Amino acid sequence: MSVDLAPARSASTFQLQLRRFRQNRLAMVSVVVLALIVALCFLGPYAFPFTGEDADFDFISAPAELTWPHLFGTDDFGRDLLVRVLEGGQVSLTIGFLGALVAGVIGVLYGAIAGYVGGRTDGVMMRLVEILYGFPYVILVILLSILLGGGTLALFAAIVFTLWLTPAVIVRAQAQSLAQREFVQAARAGGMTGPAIVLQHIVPNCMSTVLVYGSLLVPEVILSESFLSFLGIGIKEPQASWGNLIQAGTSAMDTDLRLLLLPGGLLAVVLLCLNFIADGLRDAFDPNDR
Amino acid sequence: MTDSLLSIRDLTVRFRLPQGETTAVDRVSLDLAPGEVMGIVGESGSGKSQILYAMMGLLAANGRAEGQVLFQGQDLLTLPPRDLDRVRGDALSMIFQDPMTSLNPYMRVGDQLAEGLIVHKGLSKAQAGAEAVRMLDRVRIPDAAARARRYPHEFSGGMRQRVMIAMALLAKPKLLLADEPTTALDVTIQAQVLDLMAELGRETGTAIILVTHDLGVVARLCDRVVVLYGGRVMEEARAETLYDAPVHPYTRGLLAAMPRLETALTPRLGTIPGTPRSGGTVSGCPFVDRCEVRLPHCATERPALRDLSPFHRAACHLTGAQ
Amino acid sequence: MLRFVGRRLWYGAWTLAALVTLTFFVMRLAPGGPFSRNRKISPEVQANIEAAFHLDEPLWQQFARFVWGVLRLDLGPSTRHRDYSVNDLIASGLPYSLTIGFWAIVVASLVGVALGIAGALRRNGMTDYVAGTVGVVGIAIPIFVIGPVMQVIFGLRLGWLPIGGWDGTWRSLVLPVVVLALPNIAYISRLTRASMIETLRENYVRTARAKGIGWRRTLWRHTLTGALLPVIAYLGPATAAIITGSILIETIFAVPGIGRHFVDAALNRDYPLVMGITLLYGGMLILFNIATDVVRAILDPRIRNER
Repeated sequence: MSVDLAPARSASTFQLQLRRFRQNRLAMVSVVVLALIVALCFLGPYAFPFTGEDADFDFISAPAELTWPHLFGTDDFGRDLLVRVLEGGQVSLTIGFLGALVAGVIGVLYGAIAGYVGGRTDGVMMRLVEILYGFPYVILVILLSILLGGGTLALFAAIVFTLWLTPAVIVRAQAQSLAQREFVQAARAGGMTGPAIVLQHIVPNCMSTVLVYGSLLVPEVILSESFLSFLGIGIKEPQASWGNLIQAGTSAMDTDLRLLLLPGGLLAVVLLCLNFIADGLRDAFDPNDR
Repeated sequence: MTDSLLSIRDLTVRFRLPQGETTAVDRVSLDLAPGEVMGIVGESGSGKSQILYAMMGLLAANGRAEGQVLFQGQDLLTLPPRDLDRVRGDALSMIFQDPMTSLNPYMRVGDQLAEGLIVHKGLSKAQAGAEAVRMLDRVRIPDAAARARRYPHEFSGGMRQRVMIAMALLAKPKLLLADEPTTALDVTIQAQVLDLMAELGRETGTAIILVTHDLGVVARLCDRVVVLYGGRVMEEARAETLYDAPVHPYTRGLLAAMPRLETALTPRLGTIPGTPRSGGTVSGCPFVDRCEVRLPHCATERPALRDLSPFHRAACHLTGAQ
Repeated sequence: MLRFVGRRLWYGAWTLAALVTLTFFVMRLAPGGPFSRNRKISPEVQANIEAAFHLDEPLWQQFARFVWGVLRLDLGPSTRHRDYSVNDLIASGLPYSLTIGFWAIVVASLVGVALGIAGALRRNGMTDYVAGTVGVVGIAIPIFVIGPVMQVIFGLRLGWLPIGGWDGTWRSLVLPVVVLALPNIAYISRLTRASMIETLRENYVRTARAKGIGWRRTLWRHTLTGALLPVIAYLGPATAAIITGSILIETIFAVPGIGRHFVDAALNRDYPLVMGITLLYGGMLILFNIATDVVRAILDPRIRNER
């Protein structure tokens, strides 16, 4: 782990690591591509005079001819495919980043507390994580989203609940060693309270690890979302998400491939970019772990 | 030297690094007679270990050796891998620095010892196993027969290094290369392990090259000493000569830095000022930056390794002047 | 070793019990019931049906009934597939799921390990690049994108393989197994490559080379054990990944396995079937994790001594 530095020095280390990341060409290209896709998903739909849920009865199942207004044609309800894919992207990307953020925050706090406090509390907290780890991921996520009544929020909660475990375990290990370090001991001797130490010393010093693993969470959340939506458990028609668009695409693939390829391709590109970025971050921040 | 077992000529080891190429060993020539014990002394980074790795064909992937290493008449550097494997572990064997990680943790100690005999001498598994136990007994592993069935993590550091010695001497090699065999061990058992190695080497008539940064060790065990600095031989002499009449300023500095009972009581323990230069090719003497008696041309002209007497060589411009 | 296995089984049983209990109550607490979504039926008929499935009893009684059923290995009738018991449904679906899952693990391990070793031995060589690409693609592109694309290419365009269903021959196995194996090939090859490179740098491998026993023996006897231990440790999580994937695979390739049953059952609140499959998945996962640990303990004497 590269976070073996006193807090005073970590700012310059961070800059160094950032520079190392910027020198990684594949990762930087991925950042640009991802930013473009995000911008396209969130701004693109405004360029069209309709939304993804509006049916255009003059163009039903229009082919992809790159003609205005339906550039990539429409589906069999006359809904514009491109706009639907972009809107689906909004949903998938929002859930992805927000989900990773929430899961990351929960995991980091949980792990930092367990690692810092240690002893019996740590034992109990980690035993719980261990039990949850033992559960089959699919069962848990499917059950939770059903329990919460389906829909976007339920899906979100279910995914977050299953994904905070890994950051918790990783941060806990680091917090454990940080708790023994001089500056933490000094803070404690100086009368700083536990919560303050966790927030001001433990968490900031775990940041580069969190960044590395957090970046891996984003594609995982997006994958989970589209996985569940593909199975019909997550986001449901008429709201679009990449998962349910791909599902719709597969049922029409023998006649019309673009319904599958457009959302599928975009999802694949986003996941590739996110993976390259995560790899780049790991190489830059965690050079021992190659 | 006609009776030489090993004859190294102009051995040069270079490493390719992101910053460019660096020379770890620079035109080193050495000779060794059968049964002789030679010490190679130098600070870390002096290239002393790389000489051994080059001989064994164990250089890192970015390393490359040039020159000639004649061992029993064969040039080890140009030997095809298959033929090199016939020499390694048989007539030529090696003990490594870190006994804690040098044994395979997933294999029984006895099997690791026996393996070499099975491959090189064609012994059966049972014969080789019996040999292994006998050898473990000779390096004073208590209850050797039972211990042979154990795994390395069940041995202490000193015991593991004795296992390594047993493994290296099992095939009765003509030459044993020992790369700082005791640096990782407790001071209390260092001497014990070294003496054991030397004693067994004498019994089997094995020549030893002992690489170390500890002049005290060399004084006790070695017939001849080579002092290495910046990848070059600075001085080479019989052990007594080197201690009584060192010529090279670097050797003198090393001897002064050696902690002895008397010097420990003096106010200042001698150290050589400065840090060893690493990498790059130097045109002059590599020691010039730290030398207290340097001459103007030391920085530009490489001092040749000159014979001072039949058994004493040194590479210093001062020796010519004297 | 026996004690080690015993203890793992004991913990595993508790995890399974926790899982099943949680699943039971989560299912009951979830809005809707097995018959609430049905076409309009009169309240009396609905009450009758619910009574037939003991859904009118208090929750704790239903739970006790369920536990008693599990102990007798009788999981009761399915509420959706009216004339079948859960045992029947699992018995009919499991062979398909097991066949596909088994071959997917075998293919993923063999191909993944081979690619990883080849890549590590010749770093930056041709194989290494191919493996690297497979690794990135396999990890990044989800099954439900690659699956349909493969169906289109090999099924619809080239017509080499059936796009789905089950005709009892190897031909209908190829696509599901390959697609299911792909992410795991990717993961295993990356893992193998990394750990192989690390092991090759180990001092004990250098010792082995110094012994002059030849590269083949060095590789087989001194490098592979250490290099494959992390890969073996991954086989537990890999089973979980295969189970997750099989749900998708069975949907995409219309295989009548238990994965698709599970999703349908969860969506339709088919309580007994959900419980049955949860029990099965959980049990398989736990057993596989234990098996993985046992294999690791056999290979690594240090793990063996720890416990």
